[in-house]
Amino acid sequence: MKKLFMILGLCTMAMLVMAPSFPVGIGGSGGKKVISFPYKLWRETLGIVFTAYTDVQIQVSTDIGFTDIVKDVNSNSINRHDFNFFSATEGIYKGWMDTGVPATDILDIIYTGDLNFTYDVYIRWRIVEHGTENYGDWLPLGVMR
Amino acid sequence: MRKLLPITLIILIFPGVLFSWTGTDPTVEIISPDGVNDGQEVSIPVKVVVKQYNTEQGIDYGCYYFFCDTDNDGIIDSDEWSGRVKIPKGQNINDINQDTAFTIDYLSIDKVEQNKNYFIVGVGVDLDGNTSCDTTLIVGENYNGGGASGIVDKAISWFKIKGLKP
Repeated sequence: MKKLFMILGLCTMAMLVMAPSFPVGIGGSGGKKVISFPYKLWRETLGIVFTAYTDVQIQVSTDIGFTDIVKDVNSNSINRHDFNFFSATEGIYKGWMDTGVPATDILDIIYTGDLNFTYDVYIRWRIVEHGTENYGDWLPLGVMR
Repeated sequence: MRKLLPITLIILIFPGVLFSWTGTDPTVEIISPDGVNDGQEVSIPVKVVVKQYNTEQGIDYGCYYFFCDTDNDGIIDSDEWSGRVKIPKGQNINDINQDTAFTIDYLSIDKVEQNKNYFIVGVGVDLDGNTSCDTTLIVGENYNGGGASGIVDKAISWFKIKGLKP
């Protein structure tokens, strides 16, 4: 039950983090939007999964079952420059590394790539061990437009 | 002559291949709490920051042992070593070969108590299983390292808990 409350709390936090970044209304105000993934909180809640270099994958879907994926991006790709992480060691955001990032050093992840949609979309994300197919569980980020 | 060429190539290439598989000593440094300037007082939560690298060959993993210095003498005793736990959460730090510092764990009140001294011992393991020190000989080492186990000063940290961070 305690874990359930923590997960609900995390979802709420994620939505609060997102809220100021997303203009309401069809089309929004244009330009880049920023979303934040509080990975450290998730890692503590779920227990440490990865301790090696890691990447992050984001999927955006028009339906709640994620059968109609309209965006699928990974930090281990040409989209790497759209990903940043907040380093526990340095206390600053840093660009994603081409080697991946030590999972234990990530407090937060932000995605600054294009997220302009004219309809409601659902977002999920997961951590991937760099250069492998070892995926963490999908984690929710909620719905946005 | 045609037969000699492949043999010559094998003779020339084989040592190179063999050398590339030869293990090297991985290096582990405990940056915070400082492994070199030991005895510092640190606040809870204790952020544990390390480097682990191997300049000639990738590192397989690093492991970090945390335990209490129950008699506060700065020397690792047998019973103290027996009480060690691996951080973070019993796991190794896999595959990370990085000579820039990164955080591996935060030690909170479930692990540390005010006014007590603690050790963190870092061990690196390379792709061939060679280790940066021999943990079977770790008992008797002090916080400066340099004893029979081969552990170096920067791979062993000894610190005192001051209290909660304000």
